[in-house]
Amino acid sequence: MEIDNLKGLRDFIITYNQIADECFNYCVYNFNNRNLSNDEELCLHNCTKRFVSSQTRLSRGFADYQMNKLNQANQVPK
Amino acid sequence: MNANAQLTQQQLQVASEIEIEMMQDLYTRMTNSCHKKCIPPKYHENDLTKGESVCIDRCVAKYFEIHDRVGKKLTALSTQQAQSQMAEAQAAATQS
Repeated sequence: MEIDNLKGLRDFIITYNQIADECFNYCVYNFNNRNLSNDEELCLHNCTKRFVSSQTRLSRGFADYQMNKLNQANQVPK
Repeated sequence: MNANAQLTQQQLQVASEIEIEMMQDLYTRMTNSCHKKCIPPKYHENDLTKGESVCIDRCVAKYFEIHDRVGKKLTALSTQQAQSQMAEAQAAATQS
């Protein structure tokens, strides 16, 4: 049970690394400064929120697909 | 009591393995991203120029800064989601 929670944590951290990588690659292209500019911060904020919203929507679609498959499998023997 | 202590130790071990794996993943991604951004694929010289070295230093700093901020935003977003879900559940309970 706790191990399942840890697996969920692992998936979360994988997604976290992915978000940080993608948003960095897209938002940061100027290395004149060591600090993040306002534009980069705004881009990062938008990028993170969009990524999370798209993940939520995708997982909902996936859950619907699985439900449909399960219902089909339950109906076939009858 | 002993079983609980063993489970915690097992949890700790799994958690630390996960952390090591995530650190490796972070390191790989960071090196790939900064190499792509800072080092053009021109191989006339074998040493890094000063500009490339400075770029790499700043790239690493920015990458980890972004990594930290994304972590904070994700925790903020997930607590926000949890709070709105609880509010919805409470509203549904009071209605019924």
